[in-house]
Amino acid sequence: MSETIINRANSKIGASDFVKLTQLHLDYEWLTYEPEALFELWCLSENNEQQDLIEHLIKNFSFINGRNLNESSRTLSSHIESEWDLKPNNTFLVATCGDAKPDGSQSIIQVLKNKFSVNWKESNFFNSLPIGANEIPDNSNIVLVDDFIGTGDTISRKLKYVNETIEKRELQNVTVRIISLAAMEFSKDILNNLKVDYYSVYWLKKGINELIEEAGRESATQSMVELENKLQKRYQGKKLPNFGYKGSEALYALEANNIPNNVFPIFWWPFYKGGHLRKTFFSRI
Amino acid sequence: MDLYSEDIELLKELYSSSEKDLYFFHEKYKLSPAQLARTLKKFESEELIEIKNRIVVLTEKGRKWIFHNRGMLFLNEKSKYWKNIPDEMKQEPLGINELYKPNRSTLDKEIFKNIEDGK
Repeated sequence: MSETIINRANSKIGASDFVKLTQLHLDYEWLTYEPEALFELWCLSENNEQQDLIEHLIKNFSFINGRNLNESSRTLSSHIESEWDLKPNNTFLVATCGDAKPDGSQSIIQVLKNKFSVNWKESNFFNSLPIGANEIPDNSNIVLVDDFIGTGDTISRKLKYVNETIEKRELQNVTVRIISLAAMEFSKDILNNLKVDYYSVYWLKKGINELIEEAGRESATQSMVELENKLQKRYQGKKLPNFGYKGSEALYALEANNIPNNVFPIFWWPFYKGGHLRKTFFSRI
Repeated sequence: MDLYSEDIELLKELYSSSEKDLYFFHEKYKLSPAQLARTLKKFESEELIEIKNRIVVLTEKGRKWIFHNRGMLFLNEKSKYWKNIPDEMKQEPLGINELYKPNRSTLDKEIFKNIEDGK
């Protein structure tokens, strides 16, 4: 429970909306972390269809808090040690971070590294893909670690880089696998083509096209188009990713982390059309 | 338990009438949904209240708790930490009927001068 001052309402809310919003706050604690964001999002809507859509998306949102992350990290380590039967003497977990900029894969590997049995050492973990790929010896297992797989494009690019580095270094007998905290279900099409073993704790469906029955999809899609039309199209050179990057329709956030751009931008895009700043649940740089 | 003004408003209303509609707190006190939800969660987890549909009900445990803490809740008798003198600032206490001898150097001599002058 957040222990900060929460402001009183600065305008009167209708009884039905008030009860609905209060109930959402009661049911989903993460909404209260940014106490004014839900009301602002609600005010973005103009009709019942849009409000129903917002409610549906919130109810299906996967918010991973610190406790969930801890449990999920144990699930990941257990999969690596028990299911894949990988041993510390020849296994290396490598975050997919490819440059000097910090990213979500590094926070996952940091949480993950103390979840293994006692004979695993710090040398089993790399927080940089270029360093890991260039230091790993022959006869190794490489496990690429990511926080979230959206379309699958990024992880494919990372795997390609690792494979090219292995080839260039003429390494023998190296197997690559992929683990992620969360992944979009539709990315399985791409992951299956990579011909490597992969594992994710959370598999997420598209918020509209996979979680709303066909009869209501068109109206929900139209509602989202209308909601997104109220947001600024660009800021700092970034284009509004309609329905999330490449239409991912993701409903996922890892507490205190940068939100993936695959998530519907109504949850994090910081500007209204006209350049006014919004209060949002999440933020992203 | 940290208490905010909205917590006290909620408890006060429930103590006087046992149950209230959620919307009442918005109408009377302008509580925002997030504010009310946090307050409700806090007291629901302690089983002081129950939420039935959109009605908040004070439990028997809640009624007793409020009565027990009425001074702190309604009479502003929260502990004021700044009223407590730190140990290192305290002197040895005087015994019963022990003569009190003031430190003469710290006395305001002007007072005695004024007494002598009959002012």
